[in-house]
Amino acid sequence: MTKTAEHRLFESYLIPALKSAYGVAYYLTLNPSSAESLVREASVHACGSFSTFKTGSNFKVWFLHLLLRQFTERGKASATGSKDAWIDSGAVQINPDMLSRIASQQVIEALTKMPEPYRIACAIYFVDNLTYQEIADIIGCPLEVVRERIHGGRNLLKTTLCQWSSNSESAPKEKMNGYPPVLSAIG
Amino acid sequence: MNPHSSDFRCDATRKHLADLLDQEVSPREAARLLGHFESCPDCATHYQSEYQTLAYLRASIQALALPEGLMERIQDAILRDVPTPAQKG
Repeated sequence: MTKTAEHRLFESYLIPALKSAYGVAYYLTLNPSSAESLVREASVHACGSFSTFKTGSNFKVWFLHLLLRQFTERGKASATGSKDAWIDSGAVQINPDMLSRIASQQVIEALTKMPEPYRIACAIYFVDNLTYQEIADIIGCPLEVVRERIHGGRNLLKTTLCQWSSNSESAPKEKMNGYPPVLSAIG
Repeated sequence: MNPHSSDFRCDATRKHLADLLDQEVSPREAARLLGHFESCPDCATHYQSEYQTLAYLRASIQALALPEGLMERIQDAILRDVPTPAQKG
């Protein structure tokens, strides 16, 4: 079987979006192999319905919306669910000294421990530089809901990292052995 | 509270700090908030600290490595599972 021009065009759009898509899929599924499988299934589905993509619109938003829908159709989550657990969005600050002691792997693990749907909104927010409106379009919920999930989720992430940092004995260093590799040390 | 007092401006600024960090405020509002930092070292330091923290969190989360050969496996799946126009009839 040979590739069609449409397949090639779809792949040219997908390649620059793949890293963000895999990142979102990882924080949705919490498992590297499930994340890969989700991205692969979403890609096949998106390529098959590529004719519905409007040229000139944001491919990443379109694709991530399909990927999220694929995930919810697996019955594992409802990304748009309105009954969010309440999160105290009070300001939490990490001082520079504490920040320098936090490893990238700990940030990744802290995000995986956040409750849905805060984790979903924050994953999309952190893996790319999308606006709140674009994230709302991906999830399919109102802008203000996305704003609350990002602000609340960000504070929860910082609170978790502060707790781990101030009590290094409880930092899950052993658990991190099985985590996927990061590209390189940050900072 | 006196709306012209420093505390009032600090409270109002910090309330919008998260939106400012994400560039989700209007240019006029951004200019007002950034203008406050020039006269308030505490808020300026707080903003700088939040900016650095957010940049580090983002860089850490974006450092998750893509599995090697993923694009090739996706291309194989597309070739295998997506019907061509001829197959669609």
